[in-house]
Amino acid sequence: MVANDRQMASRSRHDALRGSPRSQIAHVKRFYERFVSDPKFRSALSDASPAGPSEHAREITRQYGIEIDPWAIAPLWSAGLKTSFETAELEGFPALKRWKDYSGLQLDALRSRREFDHADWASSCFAQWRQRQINRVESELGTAGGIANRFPVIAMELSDGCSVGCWFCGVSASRYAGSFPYTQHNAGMWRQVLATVVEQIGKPAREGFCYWASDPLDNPDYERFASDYLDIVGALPPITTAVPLRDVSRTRDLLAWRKRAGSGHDRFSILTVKILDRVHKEFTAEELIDVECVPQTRGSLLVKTQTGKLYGHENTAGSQPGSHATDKPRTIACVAGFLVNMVKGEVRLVSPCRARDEWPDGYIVHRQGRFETAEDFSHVIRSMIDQVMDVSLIPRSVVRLRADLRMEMLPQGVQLRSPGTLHKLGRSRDVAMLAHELARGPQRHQDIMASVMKAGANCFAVSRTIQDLFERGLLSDHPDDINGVGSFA
Amino acid sequence: MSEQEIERFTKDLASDEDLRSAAAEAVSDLPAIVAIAKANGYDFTLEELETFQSRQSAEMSDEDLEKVSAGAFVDRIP
Repeated sequence: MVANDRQMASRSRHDALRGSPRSQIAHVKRFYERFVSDPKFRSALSDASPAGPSEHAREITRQYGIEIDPWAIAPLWSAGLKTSFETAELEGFPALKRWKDYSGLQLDALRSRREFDHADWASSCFAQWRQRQINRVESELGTAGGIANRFPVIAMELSDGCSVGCWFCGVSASRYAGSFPYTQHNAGMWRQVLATVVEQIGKPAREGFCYWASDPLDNPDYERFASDYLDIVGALPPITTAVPLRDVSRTRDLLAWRKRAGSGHDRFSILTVKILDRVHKEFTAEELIDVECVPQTRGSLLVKTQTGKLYGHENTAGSQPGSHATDKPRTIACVAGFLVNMVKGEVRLVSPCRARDEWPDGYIVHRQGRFETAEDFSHVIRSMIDQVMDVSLIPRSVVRLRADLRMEMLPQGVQLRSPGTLHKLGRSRDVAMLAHELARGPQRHQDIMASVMKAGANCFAVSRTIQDLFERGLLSDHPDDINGVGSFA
Repeated sequence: MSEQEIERFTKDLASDEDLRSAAAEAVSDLPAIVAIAKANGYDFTLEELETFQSRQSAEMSDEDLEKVSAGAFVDRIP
């Protein structure tokens, strides 16, 4: 099915007649959510328009409460789902263009919140460590590898486990085992913990949030904790919830509060088509214009990430009818910083990675610690920053390339290839000598330097290249290696 | 003069084991390298060394590169 002149004329009339641009964007979004999530809707549209545009397709769309002429956005769906367009493809489809522009602005806004000024950080070591992790993740996965990621620096869980139990959970959430109640004691501790977060991390903590392998709405006192976060850290944390319908008025109030606080981008996980039906019934399209409804239904066109509960299930798409798992190496983890669980009194320093046997949930745990008091918490955070976030290698550091990198020494120079990225190191004599040393296996930094000095290389250039590899996240970042106690196996 | 001194230092690192051992232990700590050099009779400053380090090192010829690895692939980084 493709648009023709008659459709385009109809579209133009339709666009002129229907609601405001904002409302139009909201209904295109709603159409998209329905199309991606609901195989029956897709099938009905296809059956209704077997040979081209039809009034039936409009009628079906209307029956779902979607106030947009499907032919006004035909490139989005008429030849199968398509969401990337050349400019010319959007000519004559102003509603679709508006939605794409709006979505692009939202994405740009999110990406812009990934960067912080130097002065925003309380710890330059943390800033450099995070940047090194970002470099590594983008090298492992490629910049287009599912990483439209802000790399937030902290996630603070207010529950232990998750009450929902999604079969595909990308971070393997455990069964819900209780929440952190807002008692007088806990509130005091929470506020001190937040003060520590601001003191030791700085303004980037504003991009934090209060869930991880948990649902924020599992904690009945979530709003009181979030209010403290706003008060002390300076931002109202976003929510991602799989239970937006558990208490609709609560959800609505939270969304309204977030909007008043000038925040955007909350998410609903849509687990079934029935849940989508109810979400679309309970909330208007305009209410949810800035809420991403993530289509996690079994018949969804969304490609599921094979991490967490789906890790290692290569045949998942077959065993779960309609699901679309992917074999691409990805992660849904985003935090490059601290995961804090207030119920368990646990802190983990983590960063995203390509899911693998060692890290099936798609994130590395660099360090973990426990706390019982706010003072403990402060000590644990401080010691992790001091012990793990080195900004350069020391003489006894064990230098080894990341295990996923394949080194190629070619006439055009030395290059490192990961599943997601190709790194060209150049073809200088010094780079080639360093490559030769790296290919021999893990060695102490000072031993590599002695070898290249003996070979008559420009040892200063080699030294700079090693530091460059380290900062680009291409060397092993294991603290034992950096601190010089790593093995040579 | 200073560049010549740094080059003399670099050349001597290849043959003088004691000097090499001390310099390798200092690794990327340039002030320490300058101190070691001074103590062993080389005359260059930290600023001069930083300038020297920031220069592009020479391109390797195909012949040189082939000598190092003969166009090899390293499938598994140990």
